Amino acid sequence: MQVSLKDIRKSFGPVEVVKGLDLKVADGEFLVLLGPSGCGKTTALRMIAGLETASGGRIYLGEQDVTDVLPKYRDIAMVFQSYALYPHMTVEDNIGYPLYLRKVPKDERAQAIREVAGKVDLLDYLARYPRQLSGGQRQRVALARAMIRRPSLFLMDEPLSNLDAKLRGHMRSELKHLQNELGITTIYVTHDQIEAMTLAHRVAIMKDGELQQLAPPREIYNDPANLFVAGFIGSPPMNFITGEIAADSFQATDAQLSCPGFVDHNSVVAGTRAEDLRIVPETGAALCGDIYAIELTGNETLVTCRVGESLMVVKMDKDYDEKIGTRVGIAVDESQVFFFDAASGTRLRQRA
Amino acid sequence: MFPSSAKFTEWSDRQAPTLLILPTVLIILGLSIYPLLLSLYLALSRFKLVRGGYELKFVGLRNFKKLLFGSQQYHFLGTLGQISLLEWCLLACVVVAFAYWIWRYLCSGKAGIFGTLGRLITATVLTGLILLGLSVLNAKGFPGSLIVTLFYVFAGVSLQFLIGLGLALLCAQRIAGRNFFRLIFFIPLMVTPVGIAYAFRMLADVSKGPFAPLWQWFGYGDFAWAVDAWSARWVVLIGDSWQWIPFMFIVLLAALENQPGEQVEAAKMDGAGGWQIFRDISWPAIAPVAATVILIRLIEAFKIVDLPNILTNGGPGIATESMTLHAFIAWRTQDLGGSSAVGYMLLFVAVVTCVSFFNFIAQKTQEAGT
Amino acid sequence: MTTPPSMSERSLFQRLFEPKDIKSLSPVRLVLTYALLTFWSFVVLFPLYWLLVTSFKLPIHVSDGPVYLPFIDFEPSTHAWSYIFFDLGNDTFRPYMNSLIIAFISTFLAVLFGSMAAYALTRITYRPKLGSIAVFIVMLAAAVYLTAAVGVAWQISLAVGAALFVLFLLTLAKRFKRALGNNDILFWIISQRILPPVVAVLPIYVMFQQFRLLDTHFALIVVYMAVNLPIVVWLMRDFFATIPIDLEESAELDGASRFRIFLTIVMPLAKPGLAATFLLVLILSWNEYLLALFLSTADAQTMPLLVAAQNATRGPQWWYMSVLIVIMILPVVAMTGLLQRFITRGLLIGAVKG
Ligand SMILES: Nc1ncnc2c1ncn2[C@@H]1O[C@H](COP(=O)(O)OP(=O)(O)OP(=O)(O)O)[C@@H](O)[C@H]1O
Ligand SMILES: [Mg+2]
Repeated sequence: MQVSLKDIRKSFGPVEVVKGLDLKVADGEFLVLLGPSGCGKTTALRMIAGLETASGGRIYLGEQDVTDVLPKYRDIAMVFQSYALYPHMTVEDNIGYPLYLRKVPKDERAQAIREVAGKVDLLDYLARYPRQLSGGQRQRVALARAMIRRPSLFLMDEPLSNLDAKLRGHMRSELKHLQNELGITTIYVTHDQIEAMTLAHRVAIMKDGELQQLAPPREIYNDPANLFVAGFIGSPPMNFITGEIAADSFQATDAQLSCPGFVDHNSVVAGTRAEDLRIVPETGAALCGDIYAIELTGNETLVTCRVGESLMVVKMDKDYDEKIGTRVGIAVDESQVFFFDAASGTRLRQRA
Repeated sequence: MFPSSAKFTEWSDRQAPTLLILPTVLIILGLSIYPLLLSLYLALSRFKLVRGGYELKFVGLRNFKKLLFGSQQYHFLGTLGQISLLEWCLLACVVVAFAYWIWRYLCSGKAGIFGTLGRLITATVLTGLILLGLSVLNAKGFPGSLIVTLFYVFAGVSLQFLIGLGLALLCAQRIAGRNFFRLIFFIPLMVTPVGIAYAFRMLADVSKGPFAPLWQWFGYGDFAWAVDAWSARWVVLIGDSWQWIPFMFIVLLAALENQPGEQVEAAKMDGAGGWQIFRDISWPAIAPVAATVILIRLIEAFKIVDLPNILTNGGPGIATESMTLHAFIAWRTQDLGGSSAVGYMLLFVAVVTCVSFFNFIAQKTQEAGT
Repeated sequence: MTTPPSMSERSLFQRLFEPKDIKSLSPVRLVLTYALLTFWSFVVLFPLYWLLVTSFKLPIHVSDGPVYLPFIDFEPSTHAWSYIFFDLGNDTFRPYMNSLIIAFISTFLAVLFGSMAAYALTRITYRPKLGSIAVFIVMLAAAVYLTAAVGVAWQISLAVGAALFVLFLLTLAKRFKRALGNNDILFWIISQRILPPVVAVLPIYVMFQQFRLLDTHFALIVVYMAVNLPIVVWLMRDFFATIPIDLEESAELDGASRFRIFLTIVMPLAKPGLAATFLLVLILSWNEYLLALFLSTADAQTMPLLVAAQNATRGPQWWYMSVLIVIMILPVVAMTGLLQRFITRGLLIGAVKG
């Protein structure tokens, strides 16, 4: 089912934590809401579920306006950050609870429970209580309970955040597979960008209750809409230098990049990613700096250089070594440099 | 979407907030607030049986006047004696202490109208009660039901709290058999107060009771505790405490067991002794709970009636009469107005005491605790 | 810096006062602890033992001074038991049934209504409007009018009206400070417990007399329920507050109604709290004396009244009342044993990850 949010807002007392969110999620899409802690993701999700009433704006499920509809009539299933398993019910009863509420006959229910339990590999645990399960198993119970009634929309609030790294990787692929198989529209909240990149059809990035960019993962990475998105996505984070553009050229201390087609602007941030930079001999390089630190991460080396006032990280192969303090040059793939207005953070683009 | 089976479910769901709370509110309005107001009217009138019914005559504050200054003064306030110089000095100290307390509040910069008013009321009422206590508790005076009730409340609750806390501290240690003791100590709570009263009457019998040989050995073989005012009061108090110590004990034990053991162990590593651990670690941790359970007991202790009624029948004379018993006796003599008036005085004293305790002591510990 | 004496250097005296390790007690403290605990067990158990023994005594065993051990000091007799069970027969059985019916029904209702209110106060935000308060006041006034119309003097309505007006003003004053909220309702409910029963019981007596309800089960059930409601609300509110709200929201999304959430999710999770509250309230109503004394005489007579009545003109019948007290303790002990199983914590572990 398709979901659209039209300018929804939420205030807790005087503070507005969601400030006019516009979002359209297509049928069967896996949308990830990504943003730093406290930016209002959970609040937005809870408004879609109906657990929080919106202070303004409208919410549509399909064609229907559900802004004032009680949660139970919205046909939404939610996996809570805490899983919210009922501790006094067995796994079987937990999974079957939504069907029990719908008065599905007993044998039909048992059949359905076995089916979904099989999908998430829980058949051996049906008689246990939640407290007798591991974190990953509990999470699968929560998923199964959400899946059993084939809702028209899945909401998930950081369901993987408390799992260890390995299990998280496993569950990620599992989730992606299940969503693909069921074809149910899913909105997934996380602040982990790897999760966002790997799971999403499209990613919506939020900051302080406002939508920053809504695009497929690749586009978010390759074509960030503003300074915040550029800095938030990518590891190591994008390198930024502040300078000015004059006569098709970006100027800053120890830095000079040609940028044909950009209008002159006296306060600009240039951003480059570590993998688009290379250490070269000093002479004739676009940027110059002193080596500040060298970190070997395994299959590559991260070299941090001080260029003017700012630090820049360069990704080199794992054999690279040099003394700290050496003055070096940095070569730039100039097609991969992004320019932003320093004051507003908006992306500056070439004239057509 | 989800098929709603019946209109009723839908309606009840929408009305849930009201439906959930309505029974309680109605019951309390009907059986607490409404009687309370009616009782106020009773307290202001005289009740008389007439042919085929009764008659209520509005008499204003006469019932209260009778209690405070009139024919019932000896019964309610007690027989007033002379206050000695020493006692006047004591009273002066109390007044100075209250004045200092209020002055400090006014200087704290957080003073408000309600806070000041509340403190003034607390200080005035408590000073008045202390004055009354001093004047009836000397050789010439004799306490009435008000001071006797206060004795049951304050002496009783302190005794119960101290013993309950002591037992809880003992049981909170890692010793074998603590669950057994916990179970045993809980039992008195389950015995009906009427039964306790009779049991203690048997136990306190110095000539035929189980401790009779002991009394005889001490030379108290024919001491009649029931005709001595103070020993009779103490027997009532001990019976009441026997029942309620378990309550203090259970709650305080739960609080003690709830505090993280690591804190105590860390303090031991730092070289703290038993008393220091209690003062610096255990006590701050359980203080909010202690304040709550004392508050609960204060509230309940004001209602004491079964024990004095059965154990001593209020006697000797009126020596062990609590205010509730006083009101009951007035009711039995068809003095409904006087009975309600005593009830209202009890309500007043209980409210001032409990609210003062809650505002000035219990809340402090709660703030400090969190 | 002084170095602590090594193990071997310590005198016997020191060792008596020092524990073996950090988790155990020193021998002296251990002995002291057990001595005190044993002493208190004696204090607790002896009165009960004495009751039990007395119930098997003949009057002569009591009047001739103390005898302690059955079979050794005296020959136990079951005369008191047979008197209570066979001679009195129905006169014991009826108050016993009365007590059971009244205590259990009133406790059940108090716990039910009280938990509903407590739950509502933890989960739903109430903003009592002056309007709704006014409705209550009108209802009260109507009730007062009804009583007055049935026969109580008009001055009562007047007094009530005046008092209500004061209450109304108080709420108004409160309104200026800040809006009324859940805590105000909660405080209002709990504060009813301060009300001494003797204040409320006279009008209730008059009221029930009007409706010819004196000396009925109904009267006592309703009154016990009312006096115990504040305790239930107080205890259960703290308990409900510890239940994670996620569980309820999840059930709500799954399509459960408020009442269903309350009955299938919240109540089962609150079982330990419910059990403890039920037990406490049951003990209170089972043993209640004063209100029963006012509101029942014969048909609805409860056990505490029967026990008290054994203080006959011939002097207290110790052996009979001992039997009665002993059989009064039994159901409470049984309920405690039954509910003990639920009064264990740890059910919530596993509800929430981490
Ligand atoms: N019930 C509430 N009352 C007041 N403020 C709230 C409430 N719930 C959330 N907030 C505030 O709203 C803001 C957004 O909260 P939200 O839970 O949506 O953040 P989030 O993006 O989910 O963060 P996280 O990634 O840490 O879960 C926070 O600043 C929070 O303090
Ligand atoms: Mg969140």
